[in-house]
This record gives sequence, structure tokens and C-alpha cells, in this order.
Amino acid sequence: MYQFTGEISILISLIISGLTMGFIYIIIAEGLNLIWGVMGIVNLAHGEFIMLGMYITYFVSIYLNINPLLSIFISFIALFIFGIILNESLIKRVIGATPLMSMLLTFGISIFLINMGVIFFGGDSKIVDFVSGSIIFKQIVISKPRTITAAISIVISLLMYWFLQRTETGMAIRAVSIDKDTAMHCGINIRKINAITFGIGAALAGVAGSLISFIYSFTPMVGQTFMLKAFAIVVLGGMGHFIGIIIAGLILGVFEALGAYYINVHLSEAIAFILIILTLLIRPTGIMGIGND
Amino acid sequence: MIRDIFINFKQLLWKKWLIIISSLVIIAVFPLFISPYFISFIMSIAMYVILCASWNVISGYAGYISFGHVVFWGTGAYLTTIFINKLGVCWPIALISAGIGAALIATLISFPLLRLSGTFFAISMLAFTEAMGIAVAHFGNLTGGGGGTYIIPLISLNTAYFLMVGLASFLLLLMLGLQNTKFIYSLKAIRGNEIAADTLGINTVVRKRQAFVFSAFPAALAGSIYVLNVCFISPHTAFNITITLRVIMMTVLGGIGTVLGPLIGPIVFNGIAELLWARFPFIHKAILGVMVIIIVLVIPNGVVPLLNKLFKKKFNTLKVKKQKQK
Repeated sequence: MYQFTGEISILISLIISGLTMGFIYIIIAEGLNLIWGVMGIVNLAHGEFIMLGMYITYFVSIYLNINPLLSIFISFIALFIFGIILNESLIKRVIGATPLMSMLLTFGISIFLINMGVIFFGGDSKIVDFVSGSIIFKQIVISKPRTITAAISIVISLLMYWFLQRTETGMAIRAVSIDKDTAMHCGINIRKINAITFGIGAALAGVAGSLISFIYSFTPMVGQTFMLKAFAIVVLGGMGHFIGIIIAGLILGVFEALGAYYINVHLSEAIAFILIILTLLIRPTGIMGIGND
Repeated sequence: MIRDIFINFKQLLWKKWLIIISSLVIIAVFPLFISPYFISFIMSIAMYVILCASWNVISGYAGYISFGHVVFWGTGAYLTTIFINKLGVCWPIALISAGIGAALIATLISFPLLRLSGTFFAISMLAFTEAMGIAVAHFGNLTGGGGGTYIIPLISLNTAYFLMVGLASFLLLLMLGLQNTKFIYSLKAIRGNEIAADTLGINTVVRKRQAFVFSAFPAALAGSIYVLNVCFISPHTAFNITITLRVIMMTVLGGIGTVLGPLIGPIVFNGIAELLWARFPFIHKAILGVMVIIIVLVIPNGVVPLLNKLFKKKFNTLKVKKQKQK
């Protein structure tokens, strides 16, 4: 039997760890991408939906003694409803306005949610006690919680793909993202689709938050970084390209894991921003992009 | 261009000159009569006036919405500390060279970033801010790292006040003088339709870069004066997105793409904020978020266009009445 030794086993462990994180990034980016593609709004409050998902998992597992895995459903439903309410009350008023207005509005929502989070949840960092430890397979270390979250993220991504490709609502969402006016002429209720899209985007972020809470400790201020990373993935993958986003998410995850080990943990946080700027410079349409934006 | 500015000033009505000069005199004699707290308060308003007016150049007139304006402010502040602590120069030289240094950085990043537009430019600036914050926290032997860095107090509060308020007034006067010049018109053309502006013979690439550097320079000076006054800066304050957001919000509140907007916005906003800070110390940031939402939904065009409309209506009705009497 061949045994991986030394550097190579570390490298493979790092790549696997990066890939598992990448799968979670993919769900976040899918939500951001869906809202951006369909409604034309860059949701700067996306990170705070992640934060809400984390705290839902935390409180559900602490106070209701429910298995954190089941809390994923709860945060999906809760964030879906929250997203629809938010859309109906605020977001739908800036659809079609200049990017400044929609970005300012979502940024305002983001600040409001962060500070409400600090007031109600407290500013100290929390963690969900779920599984810990790791599997060691031929010298390659694979963390257990990361494997579980990666598996769930893959299932969610596949479900999302099925939803968008096969169901009637999914097809309507894709139609709106391609051409709003034609979709309207075909009898699609744009308002309803917008509301559902925003709800699903928020719900995906909430689920991602629940999953991340198994791995990392979190505070109410955690969301911003994840939002920017998701944005980097959408830019790198090309807006509206499902496969592109998957590849970009995995690239970002692996690069971050490698950067954190070989260079510096803090500088690896900057990789997403370097990726944004490099992509926009070299290939503004993203790795899978064909048309121009 | 300088000739255009002079012509503009010559054409100003004497009533407007009277208002400008009297407000300058009032601001100049203010520190004799008020408490240091109030001086600091006016200084923070002046700082935001500088930031808003400079943000307004690239984002208001040229339409390139930047979500990372604070990066120039923070760069100016950090360059000042580096010049003073590491090179040991006197503060006026540190102040000017911090401004020039930030302008150089702006020129450098304008090459990649100004090729983008709309949302992409906005978020790239946001990403650049975050990256700068991380970089500054990382290169600790030069910048003092994540914990921040100090300088020894070099200027008195009154000097800082005059520098900040003087810069703010100068910038506002400059913007007033720049109205109806080729520079501002070409920026407005770029905002309207960049391709059309290009075909009309405006060198959009150069104009955008000029506007970008022009917006970076005063912001860096403001950061430099801030750090000379406060004597402490950390990556968390220097590259804080909240400052960018406040700048955008104040300009939108005052009126984006107007001369008076960057003056009225900070005054109104800081006035309200001052009342809220005192009463609700725990939830003031949440209230900030709510204010952003309300401004976007209720007065997206700002106060100045609203006032203009009101006054024009008044004048129109007066004219109509006079005609009827005849």
C-alpha cells in the first residue's frame, strides 16, 4: 500500500479542506448570483442572511435541543420567509433604479441587521457544538464537520440545479433572468418571481450560515467577508453561469487553504479581493462567460 | 481651465459673494467663542464635507459610484504617520506628501479599476479597501500592524480646525468655480453616456482618471489632518466601510452631483446624529441603517434639488401674479 508522506500528504489535506470550504462558498454565491441575475440587485446584505442562519442554528441547538443538522431546514424556511417579507417591504421599491440606490438600500439593511445582531445576540463569538475530530486516511487528514457540510452543500447545489432546470417556477426564474419583458408577455408574474427569487437567495445564504456555524466561530459582524467572497466567486465564474460558479467557488476555497498554510492566514483573506481585481482585468466576463456584460 | 474658474467667479452675483465671505468670516472667528467640543464637532463636519465633495467628483459628476472612498482617507492618514514616524519630516511636508502619495496610488489603481463600470467598479473599490486594510495590518513594521499606530501631537486643536475648515471651504469654492467648465461638463457627459461622450471627442479615459485622482487628493489630505489632530490610527478606523457609507449617504441626502449637496448633507446628518448619539448610545448604528433606508426610499435625489424646486415654484408664482396685475 502506498503511503503519502510529508509535504504531499499536507498538500492533499489542504486541497481537500479547501474544496470542502469551496462547496459552502458555492451555495452563498448561488444565492447572490440568483438575486443579481433576476432582479438586477447586488445584495450587500447577503452576508447578514448568513449571520442570521448561523444564529438560528445556534439558538435552535441550544434552546430546543434539536440536532443542528435539522436546523438547516428551519433556517431555510425562516430565511425564505424573511427574504420575502424584506422584498415586499423594501427591496421591490428599488428594482430598476440606479445601482447606487439598490446598493445603498441593501447596505443600510446590512448595517441595521449587524447592529440588531449585536444588541440581541451579543458581540462575543459563539460556536455550535456538533461534531469534531478528523478522519485520517493514509496520512491525509480530513476534518469530519467539513466533510459533512461539504456533502450537504453538494446535495443542496444539486437540488438547486434541479429546481432551476426542471420545475415550472425554476424555468420562470430563468426566463426572467434572460429577458424580463418577454417573460412578462409570456404570462409570468414578475413580482411573484422576484419575491420567490429573493426568498430563495436569502434561504440559501441562511443554509450556508447554518453549515458554516459547524466549522467556524461567529459574531454578528462575520457576514461582510462572506458576502465579498461570494461576490468574488460570481465575478470569477461569470454572472449567471452555474458551472462557472462551481469552478470559481472551488478555486477560491483551494487557493485560500493553500495561501493560509504557505503564506499567511491574514493574507489569505485578501485572496478573494485579488481574484476580483485580476478577473476583472484579464477576463471581465469570468472564466465561463461568453457574452459581454 | 483656471481662466474659466475666474470667469465663473466674476459672473457670481454680489449677493452670493456676500453670503460666501460672511460665512467664511463667521467660520474663521468661531473658535474664539465656542468650546473645544464644539470645535471638534465642526471639524468632523468639515472632514465629511471634504470627503463628500471629493466623492462627488468621481461618483456624482462622472457617475462612477465608488464604495471605497475611505481608502484614500485611510491611505493619507497612514502615509502621514509613516512620514512622521519613520522619516522624521515636519508635519506640513508630511501633510502634502501624504496627499501626493495617495494621489499617486489613485493614479496607479485607476488603470485597472476605471476600466470597469457600474456595480463592478463599486464593489472593486470595496474589495480594494478591504485588501488595503489587510495589507496595512500585515506589514506591521512599517505601519504598526493591526493594533494601530501613534504619532506625537504636533498641532493644536485650533490649527487642525483651520486646516480642516480651510480645506473644506477651498474645495467647495473650487467646485463652485468649476461649474460650467469643460471639465465638469465632460464628466457629466460621461455620466450620461460614456460611448456618446467618447464619440463627441471627449477623452473619457483621461477625464475619468483626472476625476479619480482629483477626488483622492483632498480625501487623503483630510485623513492626514485627522491623524495629525487625533494622533492615533488603526486599520479598523482607516479602512472602515462605515465611513464610506456615511459619505455616500450624506452626499445623497444633500443632493448628488450638486455643489451645495456635500455641504448641506453633512450638516444635516451630523446634526441629527449628534442628537441621536446623546440619546441612544447603544443603537445609534442601527438607526444609521434605518436612516439610509429612509433616505433611499423617500428623498433619493437629495435636499438641494428639492429646495431648488420649491424656490423655483415660488418665483414662478410671483411672476404669474405680477403679470395678472398688469
